[in-house]
Amino acid sequence: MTIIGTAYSPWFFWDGRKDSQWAQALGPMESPVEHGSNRTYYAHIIDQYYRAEYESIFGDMPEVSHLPLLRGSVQSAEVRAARKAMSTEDQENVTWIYVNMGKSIAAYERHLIPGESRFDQYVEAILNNDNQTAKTILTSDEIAGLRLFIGEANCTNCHNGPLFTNNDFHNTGVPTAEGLPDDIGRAGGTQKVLADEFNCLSMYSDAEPDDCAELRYMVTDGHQLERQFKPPSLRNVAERGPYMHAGQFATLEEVLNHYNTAPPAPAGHSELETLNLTEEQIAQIIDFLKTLDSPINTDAQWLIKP
Amino acid sequence: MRAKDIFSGLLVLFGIGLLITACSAFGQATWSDEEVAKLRSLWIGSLPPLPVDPSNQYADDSGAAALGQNFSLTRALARTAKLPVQLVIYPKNFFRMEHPSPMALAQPTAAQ
Repeated sequence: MTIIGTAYSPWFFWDGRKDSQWAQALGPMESPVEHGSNRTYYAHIIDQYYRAEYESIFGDMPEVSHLPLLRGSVQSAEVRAARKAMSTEDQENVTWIYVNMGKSIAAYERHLIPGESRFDQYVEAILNNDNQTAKTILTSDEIAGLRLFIGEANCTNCHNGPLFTNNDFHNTGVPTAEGLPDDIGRAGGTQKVLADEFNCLSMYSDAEPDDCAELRYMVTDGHQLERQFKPPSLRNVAERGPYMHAGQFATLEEVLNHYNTAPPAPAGHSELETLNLTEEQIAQIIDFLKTLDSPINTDAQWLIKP
Repeated sequence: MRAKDIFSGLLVLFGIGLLITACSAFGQATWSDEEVAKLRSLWIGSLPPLPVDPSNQYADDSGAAALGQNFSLTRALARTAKLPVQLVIYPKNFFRMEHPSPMALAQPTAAQ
C-alpha cells in the first residue's frame, strides 16, 4: 500500500489497527521486521541531529544523553531490560519525543496527495461535454474497462470515491499467505486499536473524547469482521505490485482472476460473487487501471531529500 | 413492394450497427446520467479538502512537516534500520516499499 492520500483515511494498516497517521507512522519504527529499533534510540537520533528543529516546534526537549544507547529491536531482552531500568519520568519523556516524531511524519505525509491522472482528464472532458477531447485521452479498451469497473465488475462496491477506496473493511476471500501467521483482519484490528497506546483516546492524542467517534463507536465484534481488510486506493495501482495485504498476488491479472472466480474465503464470508468476465474484459479493466497513474500533487520541495 | 420494405429495414439496421461499431472503434462513449454521476464521484476534482486531525495539533504545521520530511527521506534514521526508510516510503516508488517481503508486509507493524 501507499501512504499517498492516506490523510483521508480514518483507519490505518490493512486491518485498521491504528486510527491516525501519526500512530501509524510509529508502528514500523519499532517493528522488528522493519526499522527494528526502539524509541529511546530514536530520541538519541533526534537529540543528535534535530534538536534545534524539534525544540522550535515542540518546545524544550528533555535531556536524553544519559539514557542507554541501544540500537536493537524493542523486542530484544537487552532493550527491554534497559527501558525497565529507566525512571518513569525518562520513559515518559522518551515516549513523548517518539510521539512528536510520529506527529511530524504525519504532518509531512499530509502533503502527499495524488495528482491528476489520464482518467481524471477524461472525466473532466466528459463533465464539460467535450467528447472530442475525451476521445483523445482514453482508448476504446480503457473506456470499456472503465465501463466494466463502474458496472458489471462491481469494483466500486469497495473502490469508490476520488481515492478509489471507501476506507471500510471487506472480506473478499483473499487467500492466506503461505508460511505466515493467520491474519483475521478487522476482527483483530479492532482489538488492537482499542488497546493501542497511541489511539485517539490516549494521553498522547490531542483530541477530545468527542473527537474520537470513529474509535468509540466502531463495530468491535461479529463474525462479519473476520478476514475483512481495507481496500487500498487504486491510484497508481499498476505501479505498486505485489498485491493484497501480504503480497499474495504478483500481478493485476492474478488479482482480477481472483475477483472473477470469487473463491470461498479461508475464513468468514466473502462478499464476492462470480463475475464470469472474459479474458478480454479482464484485460480491459487492467488497461483502465493503468490510466490511474499520476504524479503526486504537492510542491516539489516535499519530494526532495532535505 | 414488401421485399423492398424488408430490404430498406435491413439497410437501416445495418447502418445503425455500422454507426455503433464506428463510435466504439474511435473511442467515443456515451454515458448515462447515472454513470456520469459515478464518474464524477471518482474524479480527483471531487476530492474534498484535507480533513482535520484533532489528535495531532501539529498536523498542519509546516515546520513539523519539514521535520517529518527529514525523518522520512534522510539517512539519519535509515542508517541502522533493517529496512531503510527510503525503501519504505521513497518518492520515486509512490511512497511505498520497493521490494516488500511477504513477512514484512504481514507482520503486525509493517507497512500500512
